[in-house]
Amino acid sequence: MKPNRIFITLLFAVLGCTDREEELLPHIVSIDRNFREIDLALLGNYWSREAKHNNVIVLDRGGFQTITVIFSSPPNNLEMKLHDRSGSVLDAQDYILHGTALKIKLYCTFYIQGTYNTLTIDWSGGEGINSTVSIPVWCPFEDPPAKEDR
Amino acid sequence: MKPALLLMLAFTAAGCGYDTPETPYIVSIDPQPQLHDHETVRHYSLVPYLIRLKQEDVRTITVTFSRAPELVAVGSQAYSQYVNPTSWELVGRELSMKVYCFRNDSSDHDYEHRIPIQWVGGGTVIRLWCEREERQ
Repeated sequence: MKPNRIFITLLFAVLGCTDREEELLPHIVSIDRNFREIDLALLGNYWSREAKHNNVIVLDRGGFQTITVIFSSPPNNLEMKLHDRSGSVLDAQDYILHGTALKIKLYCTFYIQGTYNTLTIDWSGGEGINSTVSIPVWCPFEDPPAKEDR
Repeated sequence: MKPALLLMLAFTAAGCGYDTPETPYIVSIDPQPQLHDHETVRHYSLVPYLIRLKQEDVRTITVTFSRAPELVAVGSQAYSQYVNPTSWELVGRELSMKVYCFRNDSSDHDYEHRIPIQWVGGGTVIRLWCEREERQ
C-alpha cells in the first residue's frame, strides 16, 4: 500500500473514532410506549395538583408491559426508580440496556392503579457528566381524559 | 474493489460503530417465581410473581444469566429483613443466594420481600413470600 493511502486509511479511522467521542452525554431520542397528552384540567383537583406534566405514559391494567427508551448513544451507570405519588420509591424495576435501547418492564398492579407515578432514570456520560429524566406514568383504573376528548 | 478502499471502509465502520457487547440477561430463576393471587399480594405487591417460602425454610435461589454479569449490587428492600440473602456467590453465569425465611414478629400479615439485583446494564428484583405457620 502506498504511503498516501495508508495516511488516508488512518485518517478515516481517526474520523470514525472522533465522531463516537463527540457526544459526552447521551440524550433520550424517543420513548415508544403510549406516551400521550392528557388534559390535567379533567383529572380533578387531586391529580391535577400531583401531575406536573400533561405528557404521560399510560399503562394498560394488569400484566407486564415494556417501555423502550432510545438514547442517542449508550449511557453509563443507569439507575432506575419508580416513585409513587407520595414520592417514596416503590420498587426498582426490571430493566435491560442493549446498546442504545433501554427496555423497562413495568407491571400495573392494584396497588398503584388509579395513581400517577414517576419513573426516574439517571445515567451518565463521559467525564462524569450526569443526567436525569422523570417520566410520568399513569396506572389507570380508567384512562385519564385525553386532550382531544374534551 | 481495491484492498486499500476496503480497508478504509472497514476502519471507518469500526471507528463509527459503538462497542455494544450483549448485556447479560436472566435466562432462568430456580425455583421459578409463580403467580400468587393472595389478596394481600394483589394489593401490595408491585409484581405478583413470587417465590413462596414457608417459615424456617432455608432455600438456595439460583439466577442464571446469558453470560457472566458484572454485578453492582445484591441487596434488600423494605420488608426484606426476614429474608435477606445470608450469603450469595457469583460463579460464571450463575448467581446463588441462600435465603432464610425467618419470622419472629407479631404481625398477622405476610409480606412480599424483595432482593434487588443490579448488574452493569440491567437490573431486576427477586420477590419472595415468607409465609408464617398457622397459629394454633
